[in-house]
Amino acid sequence: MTPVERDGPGGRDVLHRAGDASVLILTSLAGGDKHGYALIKDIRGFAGVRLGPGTLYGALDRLERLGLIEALPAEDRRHPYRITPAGVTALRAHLDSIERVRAAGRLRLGLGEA
Amino acid sequence: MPGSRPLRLVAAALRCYPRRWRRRHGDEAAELAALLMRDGMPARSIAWSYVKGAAAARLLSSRGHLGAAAGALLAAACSLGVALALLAPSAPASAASMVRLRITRPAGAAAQLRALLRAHHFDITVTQEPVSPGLAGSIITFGREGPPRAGGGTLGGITGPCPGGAPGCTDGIVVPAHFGGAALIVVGRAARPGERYAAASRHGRPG
Repeated sequence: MTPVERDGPGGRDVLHRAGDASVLILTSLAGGDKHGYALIKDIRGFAGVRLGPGTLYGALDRLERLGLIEALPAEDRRHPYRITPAGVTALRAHLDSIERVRAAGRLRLGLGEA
Repeated sequence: MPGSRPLRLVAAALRCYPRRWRRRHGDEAAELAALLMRDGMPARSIAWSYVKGAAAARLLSSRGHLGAAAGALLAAACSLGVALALLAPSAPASAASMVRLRITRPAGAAAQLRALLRAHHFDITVTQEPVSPGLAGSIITFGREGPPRAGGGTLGGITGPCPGGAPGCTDGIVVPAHFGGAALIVVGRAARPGERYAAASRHGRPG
């Protein structure tokens, strides 16, 4: 299947192919800076998803390379991470994209607008 | 990383990552693993997650087909190492059956020791007593509490420099990996003004 890019009013959805873990991490960091353990706990709380530590670090590295998050100076041995302005834009574009798909899906299933 | 089996397993998995990754995330990843184990996540799941992450990191850092093949081979070799760590006998050698816990942050010695003990599921209480400045952050005394139980053994101290720099303080503890009893460790903390020292170094002054 040919990969597709999803664009919309919120901008280009660069998170479309970044994976669910990346979206979960950005969503968590949108609520404040966090280090790895705090991210895992927070994501478990709001999404019910238990991220494995290897998945977490892979996604953190990827997001940092994309400039969507930045590592803050280490506290003890832990590096807190912060969402960057580019990360906020990317998350907003991704949520807009999901929102359009969700609305279309609900309409076509006869579930109405929610 | 100390020598208990779950931690050995995680350590083996972390060694699968490229050196550069380990320099940056290694300590934090080991601490995260200990915290997740404390929360009930099985060591195997944690190790497997790290092995998968390491394979991805190696493939990503590889350049070209040969690099990718080398990365894949290294990842496979690491997976084998983790599998061997998993299958290793439960450490008959005395050194491997002991867990060494070391205080590296004198300012938060009690909290650090509690976290390390919890990570190993030891029923060992850590309390604090006021001590002279030279002893704050080191272990003042330790010992078993209550009647001996199966899978017992005795605690041992690790001697190192005092936080103040003088030699001869206890800055760590050795616990048998299958320690089954209860024990108490007393860690020195800085005394408040007017407090009596529970222990004082030779150069101690009243608090």
